[in-house]
Amino acid sequence: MLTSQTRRRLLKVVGVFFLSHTIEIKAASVTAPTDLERSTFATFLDVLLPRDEFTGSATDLHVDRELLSFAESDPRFKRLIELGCQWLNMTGGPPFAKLTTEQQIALVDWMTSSDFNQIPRRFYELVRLTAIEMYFSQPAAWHGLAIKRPPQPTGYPPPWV
Amino acid sequence: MGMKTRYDAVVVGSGAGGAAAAWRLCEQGLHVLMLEAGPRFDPASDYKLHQPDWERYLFPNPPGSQGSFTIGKLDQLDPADEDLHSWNRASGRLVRDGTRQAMGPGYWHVQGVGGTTLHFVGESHRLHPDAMKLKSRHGVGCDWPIDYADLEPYYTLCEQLVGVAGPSEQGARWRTQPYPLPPHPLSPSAQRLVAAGQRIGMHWQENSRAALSVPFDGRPACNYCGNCSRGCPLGDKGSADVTFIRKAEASKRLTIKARCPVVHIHAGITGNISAIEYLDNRTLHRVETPILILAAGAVQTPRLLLANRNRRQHRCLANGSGQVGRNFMETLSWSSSGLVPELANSHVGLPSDAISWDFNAPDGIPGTIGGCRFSSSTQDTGFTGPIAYASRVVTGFGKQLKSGVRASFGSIMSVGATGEFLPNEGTYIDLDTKKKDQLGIPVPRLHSHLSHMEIARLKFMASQTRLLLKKAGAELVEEIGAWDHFSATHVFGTCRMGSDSRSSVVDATCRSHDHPNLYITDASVFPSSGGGEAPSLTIHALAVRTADAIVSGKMLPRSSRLA
Repeated sequence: MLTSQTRRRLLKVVGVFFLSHTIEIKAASVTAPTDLERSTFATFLDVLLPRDEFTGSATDLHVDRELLSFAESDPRFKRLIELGCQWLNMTGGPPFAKLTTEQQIALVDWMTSSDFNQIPRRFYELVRLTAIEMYFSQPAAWHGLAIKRPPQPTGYPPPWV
Repeated sequence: MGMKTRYDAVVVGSGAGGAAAAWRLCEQGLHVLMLEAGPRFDPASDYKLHQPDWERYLFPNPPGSQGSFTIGKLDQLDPADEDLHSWNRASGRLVRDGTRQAMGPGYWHVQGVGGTTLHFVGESHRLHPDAMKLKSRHGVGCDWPIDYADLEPYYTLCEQLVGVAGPSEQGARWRTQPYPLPPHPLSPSAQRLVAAGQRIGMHWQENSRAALSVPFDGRPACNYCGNCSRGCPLGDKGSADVTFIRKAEASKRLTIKARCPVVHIHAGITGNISAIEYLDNRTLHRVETPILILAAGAVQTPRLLLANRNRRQHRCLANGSGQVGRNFMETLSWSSSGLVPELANSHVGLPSDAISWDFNAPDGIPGTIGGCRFSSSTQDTGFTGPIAYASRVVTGFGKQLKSGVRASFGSIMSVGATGEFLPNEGTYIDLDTKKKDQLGIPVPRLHSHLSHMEIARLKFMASQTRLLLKKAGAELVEEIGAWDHFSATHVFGTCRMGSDSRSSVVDATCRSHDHPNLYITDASVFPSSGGGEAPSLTIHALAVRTADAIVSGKMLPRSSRLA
């Protein structure tokens, strides 16, 4: 679950974006994610946070499930995911999930420098931030870091090097 | 309505000022009712630092734990001051539309038993003596009607009670007794900062901290987890709940009612405050107020006064001067953060553990009046876990993102600066005419404007922090400041203290000029903000001094002299 603080931050940003772009959201019209949307979103998350020699990928740590679960409770975030996934699948070729890894990375790389006020960039920025939070809040993501456990109850008593 | 119950004094608010006043009154034998609008937190279950996902949580904010407020229109940003914009390496510029914006809630506070001390990092500062005489010595702002010597015994008393750990000397802040506890060891980040400061001739020293460097008074020593502001589960941090309130409750003379917001304040014919009404579990209660102490903070205290009117005179309470809500002073802050080669484990240690007072005197900054202080702020700015690094320091995505977090984690050094905020006509608190809270009371509206003197001070603060990071060999990755962010943690001035009832709300003992049995013991009475000092110790000291004045009998209304 997203914390209430994260949820408020996220919804504020998403809300401002939709308001400024006069994108209408009707809660009743928002449907469950399709299989294509699920696979696109999961693939996108794994491009953001891939598996490597130390730690698993975003989907290994169930970040996709958490974010889609959150989206179920908020039509605006869900709509942003829908629009983002639609855009990822608009290359004219195979769906995003079927592209080669290099093609996927190239597409996401383009998103990072696209117009901040358009769907691709806003989708990238918001999903990146929330995915990072879900991912790095799990000890399974801490291998290779100087942090091994939560700050309490033991703290970090001196001496320090 | 519930039954009337009589207490010697009623305190509204349980933060730094309410808790200290209540403790002193209880210690002197008075029976005190403390009304707190927010909840009582249980550190063991409410604070999250032991959980794997701890970094996702700031201080807990269950319903009722923050007061309602709105923020008025903020300044348009002048492109001439562009070098003060907030940014970080991962997200770029943080304010993009040319208008100053609220950062997070804009006004950071806690409504709950212990108040905002629950999420403070626990700096424990005495004001610079000259900061209390701005008008007479420097021609700006306002003088305090008391001076440092009046407060010094109370500073000492409160430091002893809280268990402040500090250095042997602090320059202009003369003291009659040493700090009760030895200073804390400097964290890896602070050690590098102090070394960088020495290269440019700055004097740095251990900060005075309301956190225990050794076990004290039944509380354990700090274990240096670095996350004081998320809520200290150990009880070593000297928040009001584990210090003044704990001791007041031990006296058996303090009754605390949490989740009991005040709804009405009634002024009698004589000018005395006769009673207040509060809600407890949806039931309205009335309690007589032989003594009423307001200590709800510099936002909610003026709100209570502005929202309650004298029935006969149809005027706001305590506002014969027209100054309630005026003279609002907010937090002028700046922080710069950078990656320092070969610095490791900068996430450990006590936040704000090192400080420089070099530029803290009112004339300490060239070209402007009003000082500032610099401190180590790596932990304060949240660089204590991987989420902060991934979302603020490391750019991009993919393997580069993950390896970047591993390579940089523990290498951030942050320098913070906090400066004087001088009162101005555009910075004040009034009631929002369009928004009411759940009780039907108009919410306070915060107005903020940065004058040219604040901008000049900010520029100095930014240039000095950048110089420090440069001398540490750091690569800048984030800067956040008050120019484009309204982010008030310390708030002051909205019921200013003074000798003249035409220009101030309370007198030198914090008693209302208009209502003989009404006192205010929070930072709303501060005539000036100081040059970046954390206010909690001064709030404590003023509150205890006020309690002593009450108990001495000199300040009591005839109708309610205490036995």
